[in-house]
Amino acid sequence: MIPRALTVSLVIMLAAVLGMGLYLRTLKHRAERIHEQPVDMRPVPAPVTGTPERVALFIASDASGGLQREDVDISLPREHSEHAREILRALVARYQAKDSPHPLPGGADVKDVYLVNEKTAVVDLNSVFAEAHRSGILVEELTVASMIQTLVANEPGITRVKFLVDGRERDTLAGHADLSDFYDVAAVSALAGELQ
Amino acid sequence: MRWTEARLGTPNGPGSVPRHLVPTPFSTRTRVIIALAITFFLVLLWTGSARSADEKRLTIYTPGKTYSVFLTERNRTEYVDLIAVLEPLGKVDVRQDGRKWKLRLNGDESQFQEGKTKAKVRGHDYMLSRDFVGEHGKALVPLASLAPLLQAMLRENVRYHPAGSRIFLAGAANPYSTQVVAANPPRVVFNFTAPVSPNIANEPGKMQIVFPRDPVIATGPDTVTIKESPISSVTNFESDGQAEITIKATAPLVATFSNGGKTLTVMPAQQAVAVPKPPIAIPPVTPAPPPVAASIPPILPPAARLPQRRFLVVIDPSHGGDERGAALSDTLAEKDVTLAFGRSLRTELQSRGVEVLLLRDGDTTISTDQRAILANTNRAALYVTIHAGSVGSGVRLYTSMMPADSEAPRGEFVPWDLAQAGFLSSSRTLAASLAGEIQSRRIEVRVLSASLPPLNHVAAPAIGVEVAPRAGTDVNDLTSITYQQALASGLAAGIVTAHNHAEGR
Repeated sequence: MIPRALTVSLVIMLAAVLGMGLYLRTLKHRAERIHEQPVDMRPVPAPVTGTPERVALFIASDASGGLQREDVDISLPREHSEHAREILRALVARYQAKDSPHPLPGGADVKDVYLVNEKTAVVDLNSVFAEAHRSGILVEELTVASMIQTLVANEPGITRVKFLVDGRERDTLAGHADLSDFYDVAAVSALAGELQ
Repeated sequence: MRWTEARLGTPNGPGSVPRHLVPTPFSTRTRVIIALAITFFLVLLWTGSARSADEKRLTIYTPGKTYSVFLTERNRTEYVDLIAVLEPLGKVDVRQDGRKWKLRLNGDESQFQEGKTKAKVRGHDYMLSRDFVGEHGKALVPLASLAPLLQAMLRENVRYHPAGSRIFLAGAANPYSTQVVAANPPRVVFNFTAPVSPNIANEPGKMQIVFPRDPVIATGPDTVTIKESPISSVTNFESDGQAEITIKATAPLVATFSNGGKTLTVMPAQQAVAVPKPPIAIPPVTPAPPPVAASIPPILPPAARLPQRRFLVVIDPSHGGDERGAALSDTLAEKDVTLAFGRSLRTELQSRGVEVLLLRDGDTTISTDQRAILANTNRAALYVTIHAGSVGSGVRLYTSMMPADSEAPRGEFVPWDLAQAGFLSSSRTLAASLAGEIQSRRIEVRVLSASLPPLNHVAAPAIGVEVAPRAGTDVNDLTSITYQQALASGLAAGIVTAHNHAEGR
């Protein structure tokens, strides 16, 4: 005879296994439903508090292979680093819009901008930005030049810009544009001149 | 555990055991439950091991193609799906009648029966080493019987390498010899009978050369040990459907192709100069990264040139091996376009009498630092890295985007990151000259600067070429022979013109 305690334990365990299986199935279905829904992967727009400010965005165009200045009014935080980050986020959001002239992947975002000193800025991108970015010399250079030109136009005095991905150094953006070193703003401005 | 009444020894005697301390066997019902639980876990373990066996593969080489099929395990025997093996070889027709299977390959019929070893191939009886298994539309035959079975079905010579799970059909084989040179400089030379496209990976202390598609077969000993040399051993082996070579060394190694991709030379990076050309001196410069690039005077302008220097153009088809580059379409990878274009450019330059070194003449993985080291140690007069893109149209020529205030370093050694600084002006002059030649061939061209590795590390005039489809066409234009030749011809003519101009001709 099986002791009553063992029988009860076995029954409870079997019931628990069945219950967990059903719960797992429910969770799976729920997750699949969530996955099927279209998700807006664009970064959260800048906070609407504060006075709207006119900022210059240097918009890249794949069709012309160049950069074009576009002035927009957006509300921005006062703190310097957050101010710079939100400007770059506005640029990224522009690239993620439907009519984007230089599409960036959904979910690409600028995590942080560190203004190390008056001359040096470090831009931290999220991993989606780099992993899902289109590969090619021109297409990557357009992204980098557009971000640096936009940053410098709105935060004057910066002479060097470094890009990180998820807080870490990375060799290239998507196989071509070198991210291992600082970008010299004067050299990027010369490139922007060539691109216009 | 259940305790019951029992006695050992005499009752109440000195050998007796108290009643409540004697264990008894489990009841029948408990034993059944335990047995079921153990069986359940054994089944789990067995399915786990079966899954890992499924991941093994067999590679089949034919004169025209190479393909792999997965192996599966039944009753501790490796089986392979005969239909998957035959389909790439011809028209296969399968008919199943109960337990009987009829397979027709190009009209020739073979018969198998589930659970039987006896089969009939083209009217002749044939014995499999284990029972035939038919399941889920798969005709599984024992792997050990596959080679003779294929020989009977195809009437072709079949060679089977059981250690590496590789089958060579109809004489498809690329035998290679290994030649070890212990000194001046130490190197290993592999001579293949046909061009190869291996994946080459460098790890600390060793280089691994893997041939996932080439039917290479080592003709020498499996392992060669070299004494008193930076290269300590070379091992040839086969496993999981591919051939591999492992070279152990105490120094970083580089691999270079020559002889149209038929010869592969591996040597320590510091000594990776153009060995087959003995007149060239080999200075002990350019160590592994972070290295100091050799300060070599450029070919352009002539005032800075050393007398009697050769004019070597290093062509670097970007990406390769594991690194595919841009996905230009679902089927077209940047690495393939750059290689095809690199070969076209080599042909055009050689036809104009220019000495060329193509850094990659197969599907090999080479890091950008290794590319710069190879260009520097070979004393390139000009470095051209080739890329392809789908954005925009025409050709883009790039020079290094170095800070404007970068001073050209002086002295014998220069910082790795500033190797290009002394050549930037020459690079820009050359880019402008090349743009003129390309434009004259009615191909759209732009000259830009870019932060493109490894341009900054090359101690010679260096250009990046990005080829995009011509206006009004799509990415398929990148594979157009006409386009590749027109562009290669333009670049080659521009390079020769610039060189002649520099020489004062």
